[in-house]
Amino acid sequence: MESEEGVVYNVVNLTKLFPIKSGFFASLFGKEKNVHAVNDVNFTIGEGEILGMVGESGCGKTTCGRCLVRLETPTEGHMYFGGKDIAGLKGRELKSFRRDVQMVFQDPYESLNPRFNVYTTVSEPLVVHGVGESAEERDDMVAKALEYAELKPPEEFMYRFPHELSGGQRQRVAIARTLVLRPRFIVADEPVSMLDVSIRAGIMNLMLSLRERYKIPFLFISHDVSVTRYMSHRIAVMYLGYIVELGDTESVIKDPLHPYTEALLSAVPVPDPAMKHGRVKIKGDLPSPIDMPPGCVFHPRCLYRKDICDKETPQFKEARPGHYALCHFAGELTIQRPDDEEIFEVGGCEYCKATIKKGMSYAKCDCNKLYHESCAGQLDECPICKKKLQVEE
Amino acid sequence: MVMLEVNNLKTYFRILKGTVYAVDGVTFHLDRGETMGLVGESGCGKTTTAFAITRLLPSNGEIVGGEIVFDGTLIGRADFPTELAEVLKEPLWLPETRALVERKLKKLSVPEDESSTIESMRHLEQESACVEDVSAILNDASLSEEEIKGELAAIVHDELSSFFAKRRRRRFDREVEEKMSDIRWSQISMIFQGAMNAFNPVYKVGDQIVEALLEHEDMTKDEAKERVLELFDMVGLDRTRVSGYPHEFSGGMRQRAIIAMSLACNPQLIIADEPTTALDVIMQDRILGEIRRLQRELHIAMMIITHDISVVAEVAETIGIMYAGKLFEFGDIVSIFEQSANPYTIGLTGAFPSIKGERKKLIAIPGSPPDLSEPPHGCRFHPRCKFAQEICRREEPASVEVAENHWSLCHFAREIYSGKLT
Ligand SMILES: Nc1ncnc2c1ncn2[C@@H]1O[C@H](COP(=O)(O)OP(=O)(O)O)[C@@H](O)[C@H]1O
Ligand SMILES: Nc1ncnc2c1ncn2[C@@H]1O[C@H](COP(=O)(O)OP(=O)(O)O)[C@@H](O)[C@H]1O
Ligand code: SF4
Ligand code: SF4
Ligand SMILES: [Mg+2]
Ligand SMILES: [Mg+2]
Repeated sequence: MESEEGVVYNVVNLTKLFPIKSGFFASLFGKEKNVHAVNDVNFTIGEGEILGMVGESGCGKTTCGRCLVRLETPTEGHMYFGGKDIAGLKGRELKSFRRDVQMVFQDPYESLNPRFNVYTTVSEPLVVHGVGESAEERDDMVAKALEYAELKPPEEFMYRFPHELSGGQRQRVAIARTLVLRPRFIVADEPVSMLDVSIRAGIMNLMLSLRERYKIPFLFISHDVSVTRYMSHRIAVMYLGYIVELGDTESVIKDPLHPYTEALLSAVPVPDPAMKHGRVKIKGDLPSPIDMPPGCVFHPRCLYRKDICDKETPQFKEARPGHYALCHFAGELTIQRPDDEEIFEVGGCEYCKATIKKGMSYAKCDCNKLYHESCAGQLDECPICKKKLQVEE
Repeated sequence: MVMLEVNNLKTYFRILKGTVYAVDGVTFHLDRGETMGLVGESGCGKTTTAFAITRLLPSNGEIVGGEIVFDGTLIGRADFPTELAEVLKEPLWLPETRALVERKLKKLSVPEDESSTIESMRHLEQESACVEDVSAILNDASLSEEEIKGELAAIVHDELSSFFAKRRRRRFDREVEEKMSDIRWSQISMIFQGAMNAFNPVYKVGDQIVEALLEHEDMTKDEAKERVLELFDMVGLDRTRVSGYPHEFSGGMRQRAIIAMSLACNPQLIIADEPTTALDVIMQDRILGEIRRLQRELHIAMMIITHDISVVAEVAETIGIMYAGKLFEFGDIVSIFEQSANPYTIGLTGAFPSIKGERKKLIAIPGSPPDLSEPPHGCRFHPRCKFAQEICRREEPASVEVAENHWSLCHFAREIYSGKLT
């Protein structure tokens, strides 16, 4: 169970709480309060697999990633890495585990020391872990790592300082630094979120080709669903510290099971002006991770909620093969899918304010205002620019 | 009907090691009630464009060329000698100078009653002598190119240094400043990047909007309070929230309050700089929905500045794609998305992942955007452009109207638009 064939990482019931420092009296009389950053999550990462983790800010992605590389110690749960539970490692064992895992951070400006040149930055992990027999061997390893990160030729970059590099190049240096020890697992926490679009694609393709070539498994964390889809084999959707849905990427994106995933996907803007989105299917605002809702964590915002939902905690149900959702009704709900055409509206009718859906006949005025066919019939001319209205479709 | 006209706008920053050519010849227009998206990667000059329009440039920034006309009123420009001085520095100064003078002369000859820019003409008239002098020199066939440049430089020097010219310039600046400050508050309002974090934490949100109203509108405190309640209704904030403090508002609620504030004086144009960038996607969708509703109900024109091309696709009718201080493509959003005529736009959309349709391989644009204190010669995109030819390294492309309401800045705009070049 703990060491399945082909599984690099097996995470079981991982929970991380951050106690809130409360006042003296509150701690005497009140209950100890916690931030529930990560709640009872379970997943595996296979050899050479990229698992995407997506969700809004504060849902626990970073905390989960930090647990996996043991920058945090889990409050509860087991984390079997290569079959061995590393959740409670300490001292020398922890240090040797950390040699095998690496983390890439969001901000390439902050994660590189401005006083270190590229060589010093990339060779630092070698020095810390005492790797490499000689200076020449270390030079060689640094040069290789830079080449892997497509900073070619390496000699041209080795003696530059961060301020002499572009944003994309800095992130490549950060990646080279994680590669230099040939890690067995990498957590990439929002590695492209700070980068401009034209550069972002290059970094994403670099990470994909590294995985392709060296079969290094990744946990890829992002708040951006489109980016996560591009990068991952499987996707875990997080909400308030829980993984609410987990499955193959295309299956989660194209045919989601969980009402929260539906809401998240319906909010993602798509680069196509013909497709205005339907209204997002979600109520209210995100609750605080301190006082967690009882029953299903999503029930205060869920449009499908039934009586049972605020009373009983749902199971992580395998509603389709390999596709799980934390919902009492997983697989039974009619969930909108991103490619469902009918959810898209052309725009809003200027006259009656209701939406005009794709396929409806409507009039578009020269001033770009839209009217339902029936509304246009009543109006005859556009009340704004006074031009005669003509129905298009 | 055109409401905002930006004509060959150039806005530079002076820095220790020289000049940042942040906005360098940008031309676009915005109709009444229309929404335009201004898209581009960071540092390409979007915010500077907005600051030039609202005249909120930092002290080292200056409009050195072009005009900005709002509702028939000239609200920003460089005077002719300054503009000429900048043109003379360029390698291709002669055609540019001719174009500049031609434009000025054309404006000067428009009969007053027909012109929508009477105000601007009044000021141009003061310069007409200078324009005509320059025109005479340009048309003097006996002068060599070098001699023309020398003569023009002398005129520029005289104009910029003479006592009267300086006084005239200062008077002009003051007039524009006064007019602009009226317009800024009553007709154009700007939502700054990160404004939602700019509420003062010790005052109630409602009170802060009341203060802003009292400062710029002629109304009593009670009227202002009533107006704030209306504004809260408009943007979908609960009325009881007026007495809340900023820290009691979520990010989305603060952004709504900022939008309410921007609507306070019934503006005709709202410029919003990255209005949803700091928000999570669900909140972003709600704010975009709110913006769409306001467009529908209030017919306010908007300029939405963002680095995210898909956000613009959600709300805008026209789009401007900026790169390295230039507008590479501008026009009807559907036309540009369906049939772009510009390599940069094509590169940008090809690098953008989506959740729609099949998973496509993304193609990165090699290299990175240039340092605008030393922009590349010729086309500013040429070091990264897969279509680049010899001419691109040498000559700056001109803007080509490939279809109605669709412009592209590229030597091969027509070929790319028609699909002959792929
Ligand atoms: N060191 C910490 N101490 C207290 N609370 C924390 C700490 N780190 C994270 N949190 C809280 O845990 C929750 C999850 O945070 P995080 O893992 O950073 O989420 P994400 O990366 O998805 O934005 C948040 O509510 C955050 O405020
Ligand atoms: N006050 C300033 N002084 C000098 N350079 C500036 C100043 N403000 C902006 N810049 C530069 O001008 C260019 C355009 O900046 P900006 O308009 O803020 O771009 P964007 O909004 O598209 O990110 C950038 O290269 C930026 O570094
Ligand atoms: S368990 Fe109930 S409240 Fe939770 S997601 Fe499913 S339907 Fe909604
Ligand atoms: S002018 Fe040349 S370099 Fe510039 S975008 Fe067009 S093809 Fe590319
Ligand atoms: Mg995070
Ligand atoms: Mg900006």
